[in-house]
Amino acid sequence: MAEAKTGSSALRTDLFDAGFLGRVEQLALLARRMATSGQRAQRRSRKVGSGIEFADHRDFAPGDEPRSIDWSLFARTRRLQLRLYEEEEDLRVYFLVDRSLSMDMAPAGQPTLLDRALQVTAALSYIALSNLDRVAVVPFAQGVAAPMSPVRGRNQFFHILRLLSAIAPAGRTSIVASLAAFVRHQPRPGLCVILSDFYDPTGLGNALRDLSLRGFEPMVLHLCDRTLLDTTVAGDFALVDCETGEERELCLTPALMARYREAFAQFSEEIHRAARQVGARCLTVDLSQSFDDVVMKVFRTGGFLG
Amino acid sequence: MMHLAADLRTLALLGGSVAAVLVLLYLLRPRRRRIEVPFGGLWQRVLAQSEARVLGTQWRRWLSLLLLLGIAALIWSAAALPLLAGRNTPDTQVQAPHTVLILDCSASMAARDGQIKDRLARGTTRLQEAIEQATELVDAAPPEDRFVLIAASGSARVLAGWGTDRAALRQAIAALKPHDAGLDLHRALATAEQALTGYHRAAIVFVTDGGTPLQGDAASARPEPRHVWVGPARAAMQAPTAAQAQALVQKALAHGFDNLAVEHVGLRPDPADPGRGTLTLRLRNDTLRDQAVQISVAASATAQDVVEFSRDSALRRVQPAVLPPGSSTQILPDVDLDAPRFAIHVQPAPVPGALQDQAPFDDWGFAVLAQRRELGVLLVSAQDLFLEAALHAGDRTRVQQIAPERYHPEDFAAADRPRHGIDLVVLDNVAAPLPPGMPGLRLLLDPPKSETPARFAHNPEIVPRAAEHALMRGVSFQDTNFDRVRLLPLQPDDMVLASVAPSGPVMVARQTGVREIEWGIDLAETDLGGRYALPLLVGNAVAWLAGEDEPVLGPLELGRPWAVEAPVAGLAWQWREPGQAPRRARAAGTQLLASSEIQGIHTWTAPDGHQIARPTLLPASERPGDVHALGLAWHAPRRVQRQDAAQAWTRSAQLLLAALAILALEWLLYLRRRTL
Repeated sequence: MAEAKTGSSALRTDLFDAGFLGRVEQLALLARRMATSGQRAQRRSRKVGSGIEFADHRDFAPGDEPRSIDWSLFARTRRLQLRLYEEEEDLRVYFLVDRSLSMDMAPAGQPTLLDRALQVTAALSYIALSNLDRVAVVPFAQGVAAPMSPVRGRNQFFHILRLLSAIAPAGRTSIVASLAAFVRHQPRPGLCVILSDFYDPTGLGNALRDLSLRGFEPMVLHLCDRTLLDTTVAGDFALVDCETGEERELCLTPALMARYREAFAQFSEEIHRAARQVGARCLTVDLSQSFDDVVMKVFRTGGFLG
Repeated sequence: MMHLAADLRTLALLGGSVAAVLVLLYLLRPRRRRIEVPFGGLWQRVLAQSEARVLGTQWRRWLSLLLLLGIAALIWSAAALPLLAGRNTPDTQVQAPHTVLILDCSASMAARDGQIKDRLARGTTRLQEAIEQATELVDAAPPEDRFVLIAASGSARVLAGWGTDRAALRQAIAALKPHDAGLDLHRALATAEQALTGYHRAAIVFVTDGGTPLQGDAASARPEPRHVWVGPARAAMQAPTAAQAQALVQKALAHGFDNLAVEHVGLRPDPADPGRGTLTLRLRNDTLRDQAVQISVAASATAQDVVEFSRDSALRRVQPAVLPPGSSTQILPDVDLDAPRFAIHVQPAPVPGALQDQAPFDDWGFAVLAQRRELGVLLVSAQDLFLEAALHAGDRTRVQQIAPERYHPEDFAAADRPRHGIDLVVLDNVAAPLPPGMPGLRLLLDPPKSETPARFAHNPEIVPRAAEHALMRGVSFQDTNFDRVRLLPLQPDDMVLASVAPSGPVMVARQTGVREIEWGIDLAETDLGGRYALPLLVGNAVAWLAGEDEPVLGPLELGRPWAVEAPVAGLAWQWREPGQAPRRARAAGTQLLASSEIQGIHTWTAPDGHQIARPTLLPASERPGDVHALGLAWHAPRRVQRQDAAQAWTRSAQLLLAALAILALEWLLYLRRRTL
């Protein structure tokens, strides 16, 4: 909860200063060390194809190549089974960044959720590029703007940064419509990191499930600002929705704030539940956390480049 | 008073303005502090969960407004009280210091409203209710007020003048009784206006049941009377419009009354047996239900009112009947008419074993048969057996016949009746005049020599011209043939009773101080039909000439001026009201002038033995159900209790404290709301 703040349309160059870049480099090294210690750095696609890594068996069907039959298994079980191999390919990492007006709410002089989202996106992008994965940044609000072709290689990081710096807050949040538009523009599945406050009046719906069914692997970063929940302001107010402009009068009391906190916890839980239903990881990121803490939290949680 | 009214207007205007501003400001509400939130939907969800609390918030808002207005009202009152107390000097307290109090004492004020059950509980008449209202009005008035009390019925009696003795005024009010008369409102208002002459701040308060007056209109009086209605019309006191007032009255009237009334008494002797007759009663039942009644008929030769009838009468008939609601006719045949005066009493039929009604409802009616005294008739005729026989046919005529040449009018002057014993004269073709002051019948087929040329009609068709006249009762000339009739010369004031078509009078009645009849027909020159009609014609003529033409004397309406026709003029008549001592009657020519509100049988007696007896009857307007709320209702002028300044300031301080208490309550509510 904050006084109305003018949305920033200028380039956010201050977000990605030299200090930030140095910190990102350290995070990349740290992430690589974490990967070599327990996990592979390269992430395999879920696509089953003609690679060398065995993935699974399935029943033989007319039309399948006979050379794929696992004859050893046939000798033991007398059943025709095909050997399946994982197809190795470049991982595509899509960063879906919510740029709606609600992401631009913060007390004067404080960073906004959008700022934090952009920093986290930049750090994760650097790590992904360092891992030779393809990265695309997709800002969204009520829909998705012109699609950006995924880029590969560390030298594309500054291109990503310019892109992130140009993102200006605007519009209302519409998760379902935005993800549907994203799926239409990006036919090749990949890891889909969604950074949003998820303040969508229509709710999350089946957006994550649809994304998962299309072959994408969603990862949810729920951004929030807990300082708004801990306010002690009381009295008669007119609350204005920053996206819709709708106004509602109420008498703000501590009891009402307590109920609001309960409602927010329930709201957050609903997002986590929706993510769990599709097997996606979900992290709640508070604005008070620094971006590097968030990045490390992402790695500790797993699922990213794991 | 004008200063006080101006102050009140100013204070009211000020208070109203402050209240209006407060409400306006409250409705406009100060603009709330706006806070931008990232997601209104979440707040919507929170508020939806606590909708009841939102309603509570709204309720608190209106409660807060009410408290605010209450505070403003208290402050306003605290400021106004000392001001009003300061202005409330004695000379401004009274709006109408001189009041004429008119109480309706007509017969309808004796009615008891409602059914038996209610009536037993209250047992009050409309007049008693009016007395209570008038007493309350007097008690509520400041001591400076002056009153005049007028009891209004057929007359207007001033019972208390401008004075300060309130006890005497209350006694006069309490002593009022209903009269058996209609209401002469014109007379009452004229008396009131006369009493108010010279007074500017004056009022006329008319306490009435709203009955229709005999004459007079309240709206015509100045100042216009204000009404205090009693009985069913009392419901109209609070009605804002005349139409609504009348609707309320009609609603109150819908319950009916326990009332029986004798509206008319008819008594007709039997033609074949004059000693017996038929009594015809028109009775009214106001109870709105079939009412079993008992009709009692008493006869007396001398009784004049209820008391005398109960003491000196013979009960002729007791007959039960069931009266439907409204007016109905009851016929009692074969009533013995041996006494001329009758009293008819109608009351609810007694129920065996039932408790006696504490407030019985009944009514009396009276009837008088015409006096049937022996009449001395002087027949001056040469020889007319038909006429002589017709005169003798009457059972109460004493005929003395003399030849025309022996007739000297001065010998039979009316003044000498005690000497000659003649009541009327019949001149059969005699040119000489009637005796002085003596009524008479002149048959003049042969005109006097002074009349030239005389006019005659042969084989005429005779047409009755005044069939309702007593002389023509039961007479018809249809299919009656005359050989010859004489057309009479008319004199001023002649009434043509029968004529030859189109304009030849043959029978004329004349009354110029003394009654006189002229006939231009000769019954010897008619056929059998005419000869049969002769006794009837002669009998009617004798009765009319003697002033006894009505078998039952018509009633006199109580409360109205009366003019009773006397058969003989110039006599010193004595009038006796029922229950009162005789007194000298006022006369104008042959008319005896009087007016009374005493029901019963009124008598006028002449020194020569003539007596006139007439029954009375209530005016038709005195029906208990005939009430209307016409005119303006009386509302006591608002009087502010006199308070001294200290008391007013004390009250003012109390009000301010109350305002502060409410303000503290409002502040606590606000704090509570802030800390919830």
